[in-house]
Amino acid sequence: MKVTELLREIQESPGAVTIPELARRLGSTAETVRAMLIALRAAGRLSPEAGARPGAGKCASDASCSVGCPGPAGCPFAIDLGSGLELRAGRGT
Amino acid sequence: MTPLVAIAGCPNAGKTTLFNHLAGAKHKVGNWPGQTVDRHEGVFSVNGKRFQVVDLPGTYGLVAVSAEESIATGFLSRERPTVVVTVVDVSNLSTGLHLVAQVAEAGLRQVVALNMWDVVDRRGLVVDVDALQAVLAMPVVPTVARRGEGIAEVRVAVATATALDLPASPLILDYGPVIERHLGALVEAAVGYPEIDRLGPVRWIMLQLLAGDEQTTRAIEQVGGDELLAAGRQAAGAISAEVGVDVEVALVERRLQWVTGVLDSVSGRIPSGPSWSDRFDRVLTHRLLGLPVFLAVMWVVLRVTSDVTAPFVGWVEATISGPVSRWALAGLEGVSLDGGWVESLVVDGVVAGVGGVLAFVPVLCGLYLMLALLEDSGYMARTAVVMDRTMRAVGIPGKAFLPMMVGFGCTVPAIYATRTLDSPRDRLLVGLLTPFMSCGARLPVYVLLAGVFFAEHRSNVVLAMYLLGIVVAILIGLLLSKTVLRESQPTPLVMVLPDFRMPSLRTVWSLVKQRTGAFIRVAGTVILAASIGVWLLLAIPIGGGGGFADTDVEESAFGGIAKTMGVVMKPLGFGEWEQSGALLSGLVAKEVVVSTMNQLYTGEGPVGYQGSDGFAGDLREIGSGFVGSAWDTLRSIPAVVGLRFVDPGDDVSTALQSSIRSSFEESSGGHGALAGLAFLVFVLLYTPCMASLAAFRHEFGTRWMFMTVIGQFLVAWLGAFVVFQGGRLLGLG
Repeated sequence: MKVTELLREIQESPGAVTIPELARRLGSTAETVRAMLIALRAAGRLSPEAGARPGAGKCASDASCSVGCPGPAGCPFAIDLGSGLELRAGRGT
Repeated sequence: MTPLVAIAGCPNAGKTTLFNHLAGAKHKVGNWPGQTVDRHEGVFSVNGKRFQVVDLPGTYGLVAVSAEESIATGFLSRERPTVVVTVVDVSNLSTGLHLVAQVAEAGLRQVVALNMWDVVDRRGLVVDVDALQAVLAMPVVPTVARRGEGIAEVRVAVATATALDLPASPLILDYGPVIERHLGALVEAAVGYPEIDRLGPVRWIMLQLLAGDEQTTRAIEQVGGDELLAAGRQAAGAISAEVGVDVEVALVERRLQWVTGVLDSVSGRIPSGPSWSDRFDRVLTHRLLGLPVFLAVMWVVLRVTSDVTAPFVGWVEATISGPVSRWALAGLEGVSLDGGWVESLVVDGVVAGVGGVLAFVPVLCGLYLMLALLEDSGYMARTAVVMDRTMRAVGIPGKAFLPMMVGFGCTVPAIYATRTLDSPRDRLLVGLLTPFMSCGARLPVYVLLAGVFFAEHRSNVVLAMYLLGIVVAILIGLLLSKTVLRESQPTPLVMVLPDFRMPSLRTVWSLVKQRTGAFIRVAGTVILAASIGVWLLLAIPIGGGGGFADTDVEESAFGGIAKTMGVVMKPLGFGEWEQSGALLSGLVAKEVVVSTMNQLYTGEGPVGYQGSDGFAGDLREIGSGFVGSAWDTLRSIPAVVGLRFVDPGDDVSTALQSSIRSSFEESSGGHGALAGLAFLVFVLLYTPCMASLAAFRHEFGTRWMFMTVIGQFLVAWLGAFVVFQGGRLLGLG
């Protein structure tokens, strides 16, 4: 599988797509897809989704959650996606 | 001079643990990517020779794309350490070797630590260390850093590599004729800049220039290489045009080919099927099944939240209206303040107001427990995938899922979470939608009203409110996307999901404690202040007879304001002044709706005021109530799967609920349940609390804040009108 095939598959996905799903679609392994994504990220082609960084979804500050909210953590649905990746527009692909 | 050793590696490869063993330093080791942002230094000795060692932040490559990575890549290019110990997670060899390749291309001498070696057998991996060492032409040492295994060997390998004192020969990869032609031309052009030699091998520096590395660009600028930079930009454009892909993609492609070649010759994997986590994911993130599964999970969460915790709600309520109220009265008697306005303030204001909200602590506790279990197991990350697809399908930016999910907890951080969106249009759109998500503060209102009118189907009604919020948000989003906020180009998104795991009791307990504690703090501050405010307005007479704190509540200032608002609410089935007054106070914080209802409907004094059996009797009452509630809770657990041993109505037939029922029956002309449902819809949709409005103004300006205030009120009024009048027309309720 080539990196360009992976990029095309991501671009054509109608919504968020997971690594095992990409691997299935491309007939590859999750390890290979993951390595490619990380390499693309290392090259600056995929950027980590800001909202998916650790700690995202917590309250902006204690004060911002102190009124009318369940609390400073305040976000029972806050999730840690580890490293969501967002595709940046490219010049040639 | 002391040789300098840098510890490099991808995030979570175990660098800091290895550094701690190597240098003997004490550092906290966590699990978050980018934890080692600061520079950590230490020393170690081998046979009396000292080495200075620096732990670098995690990096996936040598092109800096984040602040943390800039520290690592900047250090490597600036300091050019004697040896780089590249820590590679053996279970992610491809990723690690991609970094090894770049460090080798940069001409830095390396020792590769194959860390987490203990998982090799467990995961069915096969890695020939000798072969890998031969292919890479550098020392490779298997390590288990967290157990200190292989550290002595790493020290020796570093000492040996240093002792050789030979210049490291950079790895030369053939990038194909097109790139090599342009690269060669750039290397030739760089001959005119001798200072570039100091940055590393010229071929490597030109590769970095082609890849658009900002630090390299700045370094070339500093040596006056503007022409070289222009040549680099031109070469990158020409390569993209000739090979059909961006130059950085072409470089990645070639390096990964090299990695694949290395792996083919040194490693393998004993074939195994997909992991159980992957199998679960096929269902949980399935395009068609994902959403129904999510809804089913949420149904169970709310069922447990509202039904299983109900006995404890009754217990807290009875404790506050009985023993706690009696103690408050006894205290007032002790200081001769009973019988006057102070007693009214304490009993009708503080105890009824704050106590009314505190009674719902078990419900919130149940919700936070269930959500913490889902979060820590990894399921919540899956729901993000499902939500993202649903959002995109209707034209709302996919990334909206995060702020909107945060909105289920609290609207304030949800509004701030919109900062993660790129375009101002997306930010505003999502900001306008997040208040429609049912925040935790609305839950006590749902549970109270649903318990009064739909005791048998309480959890279904609560779930319906959560879902209705999502549906309304989607509809409003669609409307705005097609009109004032037209849709922009969606961004593709890849999600890296954590594996499923057994939730850690410590994490779950910590989350429940933190969130429940914060709810109680809000009750002790905002709700206390609001309760006193409402009591004050209730105490001030306007017209009619009576003095301060001795007036008919209908003739009070609060009654006057609420009656005016009641005119607007009449067509919705809840035009009584108590109902509109509760809604008005909910603008302070949504939980205040419950505390105000408690103040207004139980204003004649707490239920358990009479019949005290002394302090010991009170303690017995609290204790026996707790045991009874615990027993009822246990018996109600089977109800989650439809086996009912407790009548859900048993715990909810309080004076407050009876008063609410009669009030709604009266205001709606005998359609109490329908009016109750319309009231719930109104609470779900109407103007957000003051803290949310302040956050909204801060993020989007005053004009949009007023749009939210008015817009949401209109949407809520319309929603409640449709429910009440539509229901009446259909002969429901």
